[in-house]
Amino acid sequence: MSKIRVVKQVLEWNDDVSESIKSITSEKGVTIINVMGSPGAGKTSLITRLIERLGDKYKIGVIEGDITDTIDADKIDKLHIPVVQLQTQGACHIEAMSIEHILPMFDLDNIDILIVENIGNLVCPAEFNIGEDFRISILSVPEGDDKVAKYPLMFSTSDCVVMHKYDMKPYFEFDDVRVENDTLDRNPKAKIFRVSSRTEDGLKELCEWVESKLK
Amino acid sequence: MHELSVTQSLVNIAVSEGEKAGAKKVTDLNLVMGKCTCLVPEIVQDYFALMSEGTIAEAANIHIERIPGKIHCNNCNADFVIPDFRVVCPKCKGRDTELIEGKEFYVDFIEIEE
Repeated sequence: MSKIRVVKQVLEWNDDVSESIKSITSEKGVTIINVMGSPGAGKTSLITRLIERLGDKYKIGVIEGDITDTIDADKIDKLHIPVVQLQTQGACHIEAMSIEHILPMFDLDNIDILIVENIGNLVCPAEFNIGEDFRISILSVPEGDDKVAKYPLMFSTSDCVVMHKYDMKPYFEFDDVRVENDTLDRNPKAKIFRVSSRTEDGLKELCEWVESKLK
Repeated sequence: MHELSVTQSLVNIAVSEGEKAGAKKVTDLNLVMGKCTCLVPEIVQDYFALMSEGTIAEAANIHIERIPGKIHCNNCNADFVIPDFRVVCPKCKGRDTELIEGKEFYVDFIEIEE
């Protein structure tokens, strides 16, 4: 019987690939944005709005992560931008290897921003780096104002938290100040936006912030 | 559910490090896990039993050492253990802090039979 010292990071296989994606994208001047949130939080709607507002100025591509089907990719395809559907076949998150496999499907010389819509899930995606330059977490008003406290990891690892469907606030008991405080208590550097993709309120500020983070 | 891919990685580490050391069998694996991660230790243990079947790490005991979250407050210039994900300084209540411990997630050592 002997004891062998190992000291090996459990997620090293994922982080190594994430770093190699980062070196490719920094050479090509591509910014990868990892968009996370629950199913129904409005990830695809928000991404659509970002494309509408930033698409004239920047060349945008999208990776649509879903467990199955191509509903979201079909929506993005209508905007006439390059989109690849990533089906995880049951897995609850995207890993860096999947992004590495998909990257060659894009002409990276002709992409400025690559938006990855992660699997709708408030827990698992947050554990996996996918070569992103920054993370946007979306929490929609109907989901409730307690979600940052209950699912802290995603919000504590995001650069930006969007309170989405903000036009619905009068119909729900949703305390936006609580969400803001709960987020900053766990992630003091997070930027927080109140956005409605339907009325388009708050989109201008979000787009300006996204632009300030581009390579 | 992401415990599945994480556990696969644990099995891989146990097997490759065990083989490297010339082990006949990996009997124990010590995992260090910060409290500011979102993994369920019991699930990792159950999955490991299934996923290590037929390898040299089959039926290895998994020991998990949990490390509490710790912050450094730049204002107080002191370190504090935090009870959860909140990185607020318990003394000055400020948020000018850095998380210095609690995100660990590594295999510290394995025990083998040669």
